[in-house]
Amino acid sequence: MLAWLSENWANILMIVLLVLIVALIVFRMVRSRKAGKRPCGCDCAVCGACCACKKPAAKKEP
Amino acid sequence: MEGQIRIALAGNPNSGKTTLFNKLTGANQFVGNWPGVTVEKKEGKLIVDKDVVLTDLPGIYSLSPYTLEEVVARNYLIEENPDAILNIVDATNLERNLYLTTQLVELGIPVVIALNMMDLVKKAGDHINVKELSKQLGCKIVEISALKGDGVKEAAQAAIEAAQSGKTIPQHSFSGPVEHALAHIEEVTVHDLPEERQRWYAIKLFERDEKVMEGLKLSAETKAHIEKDIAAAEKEMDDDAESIITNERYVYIGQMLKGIYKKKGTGKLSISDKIDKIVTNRWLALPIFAIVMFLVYALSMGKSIADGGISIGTWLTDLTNDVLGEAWLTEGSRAILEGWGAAPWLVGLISDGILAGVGAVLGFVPQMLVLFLMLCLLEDCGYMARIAFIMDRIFRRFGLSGKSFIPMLVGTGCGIPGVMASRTIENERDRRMTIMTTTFMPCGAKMPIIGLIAGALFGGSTWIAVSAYFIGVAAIVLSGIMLKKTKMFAGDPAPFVMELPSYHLPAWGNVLRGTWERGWSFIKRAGTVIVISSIVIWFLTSFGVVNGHFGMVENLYEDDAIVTDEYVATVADRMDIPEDEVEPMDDSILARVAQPVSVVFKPLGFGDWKPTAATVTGLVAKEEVVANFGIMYAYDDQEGEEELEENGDQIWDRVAEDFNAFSNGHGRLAAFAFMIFNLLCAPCFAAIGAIKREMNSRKWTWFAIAYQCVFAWIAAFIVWQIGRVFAGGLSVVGLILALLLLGFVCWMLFRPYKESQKLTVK
Repeated sequence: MLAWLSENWANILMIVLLVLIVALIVFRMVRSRKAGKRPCGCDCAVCGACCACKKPAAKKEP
Repeated sequence: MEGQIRIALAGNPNSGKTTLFNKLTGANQFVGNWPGVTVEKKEGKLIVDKDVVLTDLPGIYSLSPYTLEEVVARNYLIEENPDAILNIVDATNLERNLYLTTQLVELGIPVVIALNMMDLVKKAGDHINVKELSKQLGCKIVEISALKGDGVKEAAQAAIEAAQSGKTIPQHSFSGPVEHALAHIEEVTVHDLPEERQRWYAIKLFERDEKVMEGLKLSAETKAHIEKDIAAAEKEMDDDAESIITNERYVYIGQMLKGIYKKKGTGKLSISDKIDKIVTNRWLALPIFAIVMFLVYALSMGKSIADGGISIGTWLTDLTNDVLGEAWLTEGSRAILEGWGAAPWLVGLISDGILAGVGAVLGFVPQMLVLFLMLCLLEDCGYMARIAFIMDRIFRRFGLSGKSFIPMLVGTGCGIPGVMASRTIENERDRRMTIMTTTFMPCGAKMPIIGLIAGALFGGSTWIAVSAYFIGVAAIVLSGIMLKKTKMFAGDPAPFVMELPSYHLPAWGNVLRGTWERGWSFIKRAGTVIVISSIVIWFLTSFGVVNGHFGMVENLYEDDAIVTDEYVATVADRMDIPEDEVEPMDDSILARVAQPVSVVFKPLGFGDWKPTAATVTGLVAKEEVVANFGIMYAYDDQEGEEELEENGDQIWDRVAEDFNAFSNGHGRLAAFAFMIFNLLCAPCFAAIGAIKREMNSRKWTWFAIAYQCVFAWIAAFIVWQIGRVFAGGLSVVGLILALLLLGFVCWMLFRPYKESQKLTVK
């Protein structure tokens, strides 16, 4: 077991790190989405309509 | 909240509200030099006193509910009833700004005036008797310069004191007949409301404000009663009620300012006016705009200064790519991982997948930062606001409004706020049309595509980046003209009133903040969406089925028992390439999926699975197009060995080689068509989501996406097919079809505009 671990420690470390990074990214993306932030290339804080984007626009003319 | 003081920041558009808000709260709200930047209210706590909440309201000219901004601001002031209003007044436009002030003081909420840009007034040699103005208006006035930060703390302190103890009593009274009617209205309708609010409601009822009438739930009998009073005043003053109030306010302001505001050079042109005489000149405006934008793109994305050009951005990008591509990302990571004894597939995933994909995107950050810096400088000094004005003159000829151009200016950073900025357009048809066309502008995420094509195939030519911007503008103008001639969008253009701010030296704080915000958002996205996408793309390009065996295609291709000569011939036939050009990736999952789809792009010159895959994955995020190329070309198997390229440049050389290969030597033309399609086709999913929210209709969303894709396809088709007449290797059928499509576009552009005679704007 120890021999296997010493042979594959780099793979295990890399895989664990990758899984953690991906999980963190997904977690942050889900949290941002729940918070109403958009996964766009812009931070919604810089947008003039940042509050408006959380609710649908009022339907006007058909 | 208990013990909190709420102060509303209200004022005209472009009077410096957001700058003052940022100064007082330490926030980083984006400051735009055109109206509509603040569509919704924003809140922040004062730096000096965390118990004070400051609300930045959208810029408004009045408290009439004509625009979305006015509705948002008015509802907040009436329903939330803040403790005080900090009314920011542009001292260089005193008369118009005070029109709003005369309405704010009628709300019964303590008002403090922050007289902004007093430094400019003094510089011009003008004089404002602030003490007398304060007395006349009945509220405290503090002189400030929001840009420099002078007097802002004092203004906030005055607002806090007013909230705690102050009371603003309107000093102004209307003429006899109006006051008579107002007294009647107050008595009949609003006597049970708080005393300090009664006058404002009475004035609004006099103006026949429908929203106020709805809110008060007046009976038909009461409405009829007050209508008699209004009609009597109208008859006596020979005007309609709303105009009476407007006129009286302006007469009052005019009389008040006579002894208070002394102008030194009345009638003389200011420096700003003199610049505008040239910059907004009927004939010079467009050439100047073209030159300015050429310089912006030449400096940020043109030929590098190292190659005899003027682009600092490209020079920095080349430098970054050398470091990112060679030292750290490729050789460095591979050497480290192999040294640790990591499995080859893991080395591939990290080096050729994640780092190659993310690195390809991040390599363009310097160019983007320089571009954003240039655009922010133009915005902050006041030039960009002129563009909307210039475009309004052109748009109006074709039945469009310059108001439609503001979202497009916003959209150069990211298409999503651009789409959302369309909310300021009241005319629903124009709004829908603007939403559909805004994303034609090359947003930040599309910059790497432009940089890639310009760098890899055109030797960093400045014209490619410049052309990308003007192709976006042209697509918007042409689409606007064509769509306006259809029944769906016909109608007279909405009036566009816009105040042009005076030119001033850019505030470096604003410029750097704007540049950083946009650049950082791009970097953040590379670290999230692009990382995940790169992993998926690496998997899809590395794994596949080779002759009935599933696994890593590179490994499977090493087994001669699996990859027989007959099998290679089958793959070559499937991919429509010579047998000696077959590579393992041709059997990857992505190649298998993308190859049939590539038929769609064959008539556009890039009907190969790689650009097809890049284009389709660009829907996830437009940066993904470049990330995709980074992953797909990270290998060099020309010698039959897998070896990572040494730096980014060589990867882009392979992209150029491939474009030349599948376009029969017309790589540049094919790449240009590829760039056009990717610039104009449907935006990323996030922007599509914004379109769906703003359209509030599934049908319109699909229509918008279909229109964008068809428009992009036709534009790229025409360029590729007609381009081949000059480049050689023309296809007669393709040329005829391209000419027919071009003819159709021209017919749409020049056919008479009939619908506007029948339809009116709602």
